[in-house]
Amino acid sequence: MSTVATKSSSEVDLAYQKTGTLPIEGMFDEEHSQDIWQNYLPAYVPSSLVVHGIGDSENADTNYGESKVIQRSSTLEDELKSDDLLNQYIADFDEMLAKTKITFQSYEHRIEELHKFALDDEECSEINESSKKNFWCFVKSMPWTSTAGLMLLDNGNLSAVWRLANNTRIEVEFFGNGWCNFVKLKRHGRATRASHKLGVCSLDELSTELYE
Amino acid sequence: MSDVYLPETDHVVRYIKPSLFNNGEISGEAFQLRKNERDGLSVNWLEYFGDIPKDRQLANVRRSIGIDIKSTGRFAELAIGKTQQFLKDDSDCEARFVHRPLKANGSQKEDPSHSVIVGLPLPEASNMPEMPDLSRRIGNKIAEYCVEAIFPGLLRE
Repeated sequence: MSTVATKSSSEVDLAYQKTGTLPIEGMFDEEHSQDIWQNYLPAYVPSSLVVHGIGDSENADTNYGESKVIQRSSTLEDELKSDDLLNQYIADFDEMLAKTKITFQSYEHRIEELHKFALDDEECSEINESSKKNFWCFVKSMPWTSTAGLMLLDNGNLSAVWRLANNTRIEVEFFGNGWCNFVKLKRHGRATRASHKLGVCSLDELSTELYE
Repeated sequence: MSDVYLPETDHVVRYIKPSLFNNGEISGEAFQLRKNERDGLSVNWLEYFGDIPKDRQLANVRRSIGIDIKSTGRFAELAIGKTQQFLKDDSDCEARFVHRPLKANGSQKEDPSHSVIVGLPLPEASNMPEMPDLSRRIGNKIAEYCVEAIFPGLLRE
């Protein structure tokens, strides 16, 4: 009988070590790298990805679901194919991490710019540090989110605009106390009215607004 | 003097300061009335300068506008009729574009194409900043659905 098993994060971790690839090295501080590694990679790599010779062979066949399963094979060719698939996921993950790094760097640069704008604009308050902290907290909790347009409102709060799927735009003002205010707009085709949703929510609830 | 409404076929531009424009997006705050705009949202009427190419209309606006324009700022163009119709259909907001030329005053230059959009809601009381309001919603909708084009604040020499 074939021996297959679903991967676990520790197994993928081993696979990374095997390939010698440390995709998040140097990108973020060590603590944050660990956080991304532990929280997002297992979610990103499909649970269907199975690897050879790991796990309990007696129960392995029961965990296929609808996903593609790599059957254990005695041939070297098939073994190499399964390695290719895992390596592809790893490469994709590397690419996503690289994009996240660029996005975070662009935010850092933009915030520096906004500090300068605030000094130069008498109508605009200096950046609310608590708002900035909340912005970083939110984007680091959702590293795969697309790059936002980052603005400074006259009251000193940071405001971010994300463009989502289905012609949806959301602008979020970070108050700085763990809460934010959002305006979400969506237009259906050529309809004359655009649906909207406004509200005040916690940072935890905001992630739902972005992906519901 | 009675208000002179701008033709619905014409266009205006609104200056967007650099802090409110990034990554191709305009904050809704850019289209909310500011403290010094209680009479209406300031814009500049492009066709005031005649039937000339848009870059020349914009050049005239840049020369006359009484704002310290930044190179990283932007001008957002609105089509008058389309914006009025959208705001009416979507938000029951009866916005009107009115010509309000500014005369030279001290260090302030004459701004003959200056106009305002009247009928937009005022931001809610500043002592309730956490409350989402009509002004914010409409500001976001103008930014998202009414901006026809975005132009640089200043052109590179």
